Amino acid sequence: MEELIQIKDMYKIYNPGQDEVRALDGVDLIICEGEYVAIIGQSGSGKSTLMNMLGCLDVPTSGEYYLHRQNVAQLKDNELAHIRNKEIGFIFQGFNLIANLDAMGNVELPLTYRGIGKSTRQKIARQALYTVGLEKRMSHRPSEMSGGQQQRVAVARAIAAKPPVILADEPTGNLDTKTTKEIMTILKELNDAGRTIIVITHDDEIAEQADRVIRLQDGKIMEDYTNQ
Amino acid sequence: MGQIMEYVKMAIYNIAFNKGRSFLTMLGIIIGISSVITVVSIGSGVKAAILKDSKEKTVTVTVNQDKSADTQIITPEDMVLIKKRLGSRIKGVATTMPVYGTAYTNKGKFDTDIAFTTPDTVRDPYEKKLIRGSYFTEEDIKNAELKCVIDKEGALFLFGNLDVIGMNLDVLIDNKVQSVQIIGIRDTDPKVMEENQQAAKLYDMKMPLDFEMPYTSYEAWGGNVGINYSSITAYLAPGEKANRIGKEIIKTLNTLHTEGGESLFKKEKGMDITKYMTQTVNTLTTFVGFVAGISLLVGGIGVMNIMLVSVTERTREIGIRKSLGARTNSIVTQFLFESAIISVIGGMIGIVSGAGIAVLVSSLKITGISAKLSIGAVIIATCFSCGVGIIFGIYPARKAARLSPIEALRQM
Repeated sequence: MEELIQIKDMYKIYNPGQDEVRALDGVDLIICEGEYVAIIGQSGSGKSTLMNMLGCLDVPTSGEYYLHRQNVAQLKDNELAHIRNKEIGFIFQGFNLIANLDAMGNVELPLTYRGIGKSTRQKIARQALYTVGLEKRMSHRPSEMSGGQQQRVAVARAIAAKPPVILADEPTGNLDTKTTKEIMTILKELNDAGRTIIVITHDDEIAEQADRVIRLQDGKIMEDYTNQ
Repeated sequence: MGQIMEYVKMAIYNIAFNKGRSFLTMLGIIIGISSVITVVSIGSGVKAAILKDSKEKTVTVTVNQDKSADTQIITPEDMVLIKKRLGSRIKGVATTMPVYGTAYTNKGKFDTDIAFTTPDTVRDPYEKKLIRGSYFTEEDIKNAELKCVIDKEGALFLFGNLDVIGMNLDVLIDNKVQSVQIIGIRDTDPKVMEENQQAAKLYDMKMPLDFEMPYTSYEAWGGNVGINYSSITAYLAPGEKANRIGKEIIKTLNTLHTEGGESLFKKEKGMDITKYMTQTVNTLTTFVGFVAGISLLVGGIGVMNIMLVSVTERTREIGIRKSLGARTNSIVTQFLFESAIISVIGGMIGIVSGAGIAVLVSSLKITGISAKLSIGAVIIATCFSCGVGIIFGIYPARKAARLSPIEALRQM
C-alpha cells in the first residue's frame, strides 16, 4: 500500500526550559493509504497534540511530517490552510458545525474555501449528505437536529471534499450508545470504500473497530499493534 | 474574484442572520450620519435665511443737520427725479411726515399716529402687507384725497371687525376736524397685537392707532404740503446694494440743492449685520458639525466594538472555518465586508433619515428655519461611513483571522 503519512522524530515542546512539557517526545509513525487507525491514550498522553499535528492545525517544535511525500511540518499559515482544505477532513467531538448555516451550508463550506462554484458545490454536498443518510435534513440548522444527526453532518462535511485522510477526534464522545454505533458504522463503511481514517479516542471499544491501534503515553508511542 | 463574492455572500448572510444585532450596530452609524446631515442642512438653511434677511432692503438719505439749519428741504420734485434716475433699480421712493392726531368714533376718541406719505410706502419691505381694500394712488395724491390705510389691530379695536372699508372717521389735528375714509387694512403681526392688548390690560394704556394717508391731504388741516421732508427712503430692487443706491440718491439730490455743498445729504447707516451674522452662523455650523462628527466617531467605535464582540463570540466559528481550509485573508475579507456593509447600509439609512428630519424640521416652520440639503455633507457622510466600516473593521477582522485554529477551536 502507498505511504500516506510519515512522521519522523517529531517533538512538540511547550514552555521550553525547566518546566517544559514534552507533549510529543520523538514520535515516528507511518500510516498508509486505506488504513483505519485508532490512536489511544489517557488524557495528557499527547494524543490531541498528535492529532493537531496530523491535521496541520499546529506546527511541531522539530521533526518532519510528510503528507503525500510533501514535508508540511514548517509550512506557513496559508499553505497549511490549503493542505487542511485539500488533504484532511475533520470530525470533532463537539461536532463544530456553524450554527448559522443549515446542513447543506455546513457541508458546502470546505468546498467554498476550495473555490468550487455554487452548483457543483451543492451537487457534491447533496451527495455527501445522502451518504450519511441525511438527505431529508439538508435545510435544517444544527439546533434543529439531534447530536447523532449533527455528527453525521460533520462526517458529510469531512468527506465532501474527498480528502485522502479523515481525522476524527473523539467523534462519539458526546453521543449515546446507539448513535455511537451509527457513526462508527459510517466510518467503517468509509474505510471499506478506501478512505484512510484516523480516530483519536480513549474508548477501547471504539479502538477495537480499527485495524490498527497506536497507544501513546507521555508523548511517546508505547504500543502499535494490529487488531485481529 | 469569484472567491471574494463568496465571502461577501457569507458576510451578508451573517448580517441577515443576526438582524437584531446588525441593526443595533447600524444604529450608531445611522444616528451619527443623520445628525451630521440634519445639522449641516439646517445650518446652511439658516445661514441662507439669515443672509437673505440681513441684506439691507432699503436705504434712507437724510439732510445733514450740521450743514443746514433747515432740515426739511427734500421736496416731492426731488423724489420724482430720483425715481426717474434710478428707474428699475429701486422699487419705490417714499417720504413720510409723522403727525400726531386724534381719531373720533362712536366708541370715543383715540390717539393716532398719522404718517403722511407717498403711495410707494405700500412697497416697504418691512411693513406688513395689505389684507383688505387698496392703497392710495398717485391720483389720490394729486387730489389730496382724505383717505387712510389702517392696520388690522386698529380696525379691530375701533370697529370690532374688518368690514370697515369705505367707512369714515373724524380725525382731529391742530384743532381742526376732517372726515377721513378708510380704504385699506394692513396686516398686524399677531404677536405685536397680543403684546399691545396685554399692555392695555396691565397699564390701562392704549397704544396709538396707526394711519397712513396721502401727504397732500395734510393740507386739509392747514399743513404745509410738499416742500418739507428731512429724509427720503428708497426700496431696493433685488440684488441692488444699499451703498451704491444711497450714493446715487445723494448725487441726484446734490444736483438740485447746490446751496449746501457736497455733504448736505448723508446716507443713514444701515444695519450692517450681514458680515457678523455670516461669521456667527459659520462658527455655529462648524461647531455643531464637530459635535455631529464626534457622534459619527462614537458610531464607528460602536461598530468596532460590536465587531470585536462578534469576533469573540464567533472565535469557535473562526476556528472551524480555519480547520476547513479558510485562509487568513478569507476570514479578514468576510469580517471586513461585514463591518463595511453594516456601515454603508447604516450610512444610507442615515442619509435618508437625516434628509427627512431636515425637511421635516423646515416644514414645521419653526421661526422660519428652512433646511438646505448640502451635497457636500452627504458626500462626506457617505465617505465617512464607508471609512468607518473599513477602518474600524480592520482591527477586529485581523484579530479574527490571526487566531490559531487550535486556540479558536478550544474556545467553548
